Amino acid sequence: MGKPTDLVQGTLDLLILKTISLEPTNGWAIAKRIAQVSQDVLQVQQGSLYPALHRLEHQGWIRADWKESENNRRAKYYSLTAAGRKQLKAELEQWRRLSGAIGLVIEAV
Amino acid sequence: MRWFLRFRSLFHSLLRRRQMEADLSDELRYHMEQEIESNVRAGMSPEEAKYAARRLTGPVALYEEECRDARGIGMVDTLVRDGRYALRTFRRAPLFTAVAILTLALGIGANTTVFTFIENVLLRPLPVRNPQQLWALGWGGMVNISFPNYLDFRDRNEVFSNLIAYRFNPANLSIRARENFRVWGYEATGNYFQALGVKPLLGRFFGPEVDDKPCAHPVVVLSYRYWQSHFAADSNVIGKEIKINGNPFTVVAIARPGFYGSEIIMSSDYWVPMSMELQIEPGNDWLFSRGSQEVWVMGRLKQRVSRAQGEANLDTIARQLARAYPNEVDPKAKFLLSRPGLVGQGLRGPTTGVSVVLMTVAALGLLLVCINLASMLLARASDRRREIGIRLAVGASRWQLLRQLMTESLLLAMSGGLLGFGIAFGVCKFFSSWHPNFDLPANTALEPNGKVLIFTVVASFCTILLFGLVPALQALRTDLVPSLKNEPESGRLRRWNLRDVLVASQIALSVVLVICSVLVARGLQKASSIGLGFNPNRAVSVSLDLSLQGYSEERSRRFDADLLTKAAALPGLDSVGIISNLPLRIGENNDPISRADRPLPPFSKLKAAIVYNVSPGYFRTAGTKLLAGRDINSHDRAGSPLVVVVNETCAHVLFGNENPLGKHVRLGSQEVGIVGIVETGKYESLGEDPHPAAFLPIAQTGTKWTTLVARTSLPTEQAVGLLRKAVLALDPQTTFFNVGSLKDQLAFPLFPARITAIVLSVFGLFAMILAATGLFALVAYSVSRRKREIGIRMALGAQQSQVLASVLGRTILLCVIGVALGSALTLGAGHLLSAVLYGVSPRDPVTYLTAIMLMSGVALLACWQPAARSIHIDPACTLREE
Repeated sequence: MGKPTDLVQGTLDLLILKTISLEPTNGWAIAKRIAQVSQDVLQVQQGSLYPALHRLEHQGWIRADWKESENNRRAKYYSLTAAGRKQLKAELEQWRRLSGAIGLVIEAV
Repeated sequence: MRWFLRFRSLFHSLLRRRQMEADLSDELRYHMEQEIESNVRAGMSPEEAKYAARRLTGPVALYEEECRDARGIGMVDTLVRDGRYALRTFRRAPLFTAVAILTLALGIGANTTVFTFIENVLLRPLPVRNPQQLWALGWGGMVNISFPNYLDFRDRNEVFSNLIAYRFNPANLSIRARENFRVWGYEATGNYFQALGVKPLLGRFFGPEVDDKPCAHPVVVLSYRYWQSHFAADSNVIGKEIKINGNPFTVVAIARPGFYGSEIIMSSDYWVPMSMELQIEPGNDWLFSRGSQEVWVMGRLKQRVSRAQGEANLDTIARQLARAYPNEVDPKAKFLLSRPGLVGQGLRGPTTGVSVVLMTVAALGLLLVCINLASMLLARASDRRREIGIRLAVGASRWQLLRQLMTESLLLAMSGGLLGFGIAFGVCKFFSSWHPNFDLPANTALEPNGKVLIFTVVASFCTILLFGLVPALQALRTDLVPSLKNEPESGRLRRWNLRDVLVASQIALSVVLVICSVLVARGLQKASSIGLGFNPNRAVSVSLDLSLQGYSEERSRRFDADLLTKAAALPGLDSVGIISNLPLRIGENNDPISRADRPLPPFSKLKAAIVYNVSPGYFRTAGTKLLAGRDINSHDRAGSPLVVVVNETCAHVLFGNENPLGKHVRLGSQEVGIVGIVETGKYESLGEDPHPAAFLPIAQTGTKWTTLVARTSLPTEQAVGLLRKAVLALDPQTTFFNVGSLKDQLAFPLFPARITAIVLSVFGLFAMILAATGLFALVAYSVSRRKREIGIRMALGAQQSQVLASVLGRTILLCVIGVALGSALTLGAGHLLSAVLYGVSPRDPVTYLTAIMLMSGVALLACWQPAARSIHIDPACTLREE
């Protein structure tokens, strides 16, 4: 396993919001899903994941509930709030604009 | 909104802190276990899986910390931790903490109290509409203007939308027969309420229609307070008739609760139209007299008219009036508009002066508190050098240390501020509940409000900057290596510095204040034994104003005679007498007096005597000694030759060494024969020089006021009750003032001395505490800086006494200088107090000795603890440690 790609803070927020927008997910599953979908390119460390989750919760974008996990253990499941949904939309747009722009610049001859 | 959400989230986390912490560790553990499980599933042995997971996840405690920070709890945690650490530090130094908080509380309390006074009296506007447009008129340095002049100004000026006149007066108010009360209130022009823009609680205020002709509108407005206390808040009172000075008046309105009238220091009971003047002040007709300066005038300036324009317009009218009435109007008098509420410039000037002085003194006091605290903190900072060095060494940042030290200062300042506000609140409460026994409804309410609270908070924060910042920065300059190696601080001890000068001047200041307050207190003690001219013990009096009841001179003379006969027959009274007005109260008459056997001297050489009217038996009752001749007796009545009793000073001034008995003098407009001489007493103030006085028989002159005096060994209440009953039996309409024992009534003339004594002793105590903390800080600081040196000295065989001498030598020198300076200052300036020192020399040696002993005792106490610390320094310990 190589050195995990460093994530810009804003990008991690976007990844988390996007991941939990499908269904309520717990911290470990979020990390796994991100790794899986990015084909192991994006490795989210525990040390950045949880502070980010708590910050997002503190800002009121995500909500946490304790639920039973698939293997019948109590785990904390995060889901989007209304404000979080709005934030995700805004960040997605921002990201698309930014990556599009960067793409244009680096693809230009 | 976003801020609100975050705050709510933080608040939740703090409230359910334990739950949150448990959740946090559960969550992180779940992650770890999932990791292990997935490793096992991937084929690792359980041991291996655990290690791999651990390696991957890293320091969990750090993540927890970061999660807390993400929730904003981190900051709170730091604050709490700093606060706890500060509290622990305080617990280790309880004496320092107590002294710091107490002195801060006193300093902040004094400032808050003075500010409350300023806010309540000077800054708070009158309870009326747009008070900033209102201006009180002062004319040629006077605040009174005659009513005819007022009318001319009202009708001719172009600058005021309204110009009102009012006057404050006592009256007798009868609600029903036998329910009579002495009240104080305003006579006001018809435009008064409309101009002030106040609305009644009930009924309708009187309007300009009442000004059209005199004595035609007997209507009265009652204050809310009076309506509550005397009419049981009965709303049916509107339209009812009450009697004022025996004349029927109709109640037309009740004022709203907050409206006490147009002057701040008095709270009014009633308002009547000024056109009813003759019924409120019988026999004092000034409505048509341009020469009698009787009314206070206030106006509402029109929009966009400046104060200067207003004054200019009034001056123009004044010049026209001076041409028309050269004998009554002074052409040189200029108008001055000032903020209303304190009798124009009349009281505002002195009040502002007093406030500035008090505020300056209080602020200086607080500054000294801060300086003393700063030096105590400096002393502590050098004690804590090692601790700070260690903390720096283990990686504390300077910012963290500064935050820690400032948290300590913040806690001190906040506790001091809180306690100080409490002190101020208590003082104000005490002052508000204090009803001085004066015949005037003084408005003594002092209410600390939001502004005052803000002031206290700001003052407390300023103190932090003053006392906390410098020592904290000093502590941060600690060099790591030498402090750990216990090398002494570099830089040499200066021989004399600002701190020494400050301590010496604090000692001097407190010596001055202590001497002065002891002098005034001794003066108060002696006041009742100086030649008052009467004996205040075991005597009572009641005063009545028959003129308010419309008595003619003839009728009041008859009333007094009947009263005397009736009172003399009362059981339990040794003797009774009547005097117009007791000495040492306001309202004395001064009349020119001269020898009848010589030509009338020019006006400038004419002597004046204070004139009293007395009945037979007054001198015996009051305990005034008759030195020669006879008392006034029952044969001195209307029709018999006019007689007078004069005091010794008067006899001496007019006749020198001749025998004055049987001689005639011109007194006012009449010629009277001297029949007796009495001792000279005090008449206008306790501190006055001997003043001529003349006593005329009431049977020959009549009086405006009647004060019935009785000498008795009955309790005051009972004796006063007997006198009241005797008066009411003659006229049930009568109301009383200045009721009580003669001793109690001395409270009025003694008031300036009492206030001076209280203020001086409060400031004296404060200064003493300051001086003590200053000394304490100085000695503590020098001991902690010289610990090493003292240790070496002791190791080399110095005796404890030698160490003490070296530690205290300079301090004792400072004390001696301070005490000498203070005593010298008081010796030089003590005569300024002579007005309130009765029978005590301002250079009284006993007082000086007492004060100096007291100060030395305090100095000794203050130095004791740090000095004792110096001799208990164990040389072995110090040398090993250093």
